[in-house]
Amino acid sequence: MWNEFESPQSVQDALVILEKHGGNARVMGGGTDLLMQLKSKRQTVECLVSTGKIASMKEIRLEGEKLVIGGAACAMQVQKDPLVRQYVPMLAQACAKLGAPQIRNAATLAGNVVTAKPAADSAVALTASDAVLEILGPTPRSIPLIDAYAGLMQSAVDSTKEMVVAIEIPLPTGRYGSHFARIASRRAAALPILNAAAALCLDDDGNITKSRVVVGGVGPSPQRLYTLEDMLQGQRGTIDLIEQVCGASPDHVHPRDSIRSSAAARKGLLPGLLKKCLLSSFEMATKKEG
Amino acid sequence: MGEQYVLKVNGKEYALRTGGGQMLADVLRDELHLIGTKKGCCQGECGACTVILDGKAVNSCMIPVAKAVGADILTIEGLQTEDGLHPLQKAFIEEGAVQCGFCTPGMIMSAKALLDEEANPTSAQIQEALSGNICRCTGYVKIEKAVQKASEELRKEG
Repeated sequence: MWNEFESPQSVQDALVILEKHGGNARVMGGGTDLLMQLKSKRQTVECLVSTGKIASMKEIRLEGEKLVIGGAACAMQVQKDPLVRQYVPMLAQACAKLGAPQIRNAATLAGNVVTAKPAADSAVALTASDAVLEILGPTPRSIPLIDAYAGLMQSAVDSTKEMVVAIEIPLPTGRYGSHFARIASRRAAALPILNAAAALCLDDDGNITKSRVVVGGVGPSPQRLYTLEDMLQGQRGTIDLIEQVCGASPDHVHPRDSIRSSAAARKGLLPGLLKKCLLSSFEMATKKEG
Repeated sequence: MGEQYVLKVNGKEYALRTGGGQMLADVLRDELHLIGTKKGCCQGECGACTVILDGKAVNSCMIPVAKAVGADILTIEGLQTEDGLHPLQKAFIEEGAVQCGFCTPGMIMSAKALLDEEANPTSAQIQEALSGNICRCTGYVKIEKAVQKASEELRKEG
């Protein structure tokens, strides 16, 4: 599956190795998806470049108005991190649902995004967090999560040349609440039929100043349901409004039949799932002091 | 490849020389003959190959051996001491938490990783910690009970 395996200790060393192999090396986070792909496609990579020994990429820290999650932080680390739990609870919830403990101890957050599975749990929560991928490579760049998928199972990040060194999340302001939930055939080690994340910001009068509604399992990437967000934005937050928005949700998604579920079932399940996310977000936001 | 490398397993260092592309589970079984670690699905889903790598439970079928160089690796063979079986091993036997036994080493390693972090886990924590370990014959009731019993035993030992 690979000829060489490198574990550089710095970002710089990793980039040098990638450049040396001229597009025939690949960045590997935990490898839980990548190794499976190589195995099933019987592919051989010239060199796997593991991020596992780059200590600076494992940090999770506050930087100004942003929460910065290192590109080598594993899902278990993110799930348990006090800063993530405080500022982006939906991301901790999403990471807690990813695979099983053994997977979460290896799989990285960045890897979960770059593998570009349509309903990657963390990507759904990161999209609802307005997260941005910080990428180093021949041309350093930043990609908002909403643009991180280039197509079905295709990432906008070229991991033969580039590396996600960090994921940055703007800190929420005011009264904020967020929630992630999923529906799957089993509680662990099962890909979701449908997953969703919602985030709400309220002003002191209880008006919704910002809303995010993101769903996975209804398209090739996590989908922001802009129409539903607009229905919430600027309105006074009430349970009635949330129910109305959730009721309208099936009209704004276009799922397909797949091995895990029919399109009709996905549409039918969506209002209930979104209600759970939005009500929990609303409840959390209303409890918080502005 | 063919380069020499050292693997630290159960406190012992092994000098090895193998080809590229090997997973930790294969090296443990085929090179070191530590066959307590089982290979089930070989795709990171069943947990039979669970070992503890630097304190964390991982699927050894999904860890390239080169990634495990320099890490402390603990397998089921490393639990027993001169005094006998580990309290988890004893509890699995006493509670009848073993039927065919294939999933048992992985179950015990996941449980060990949990108890190392949380000496007095709740039922929900035990279920969560074992959620990546699939058993197809014993069922999970006795396994959970065994973990609870071992946790009590370990706390008594202090």
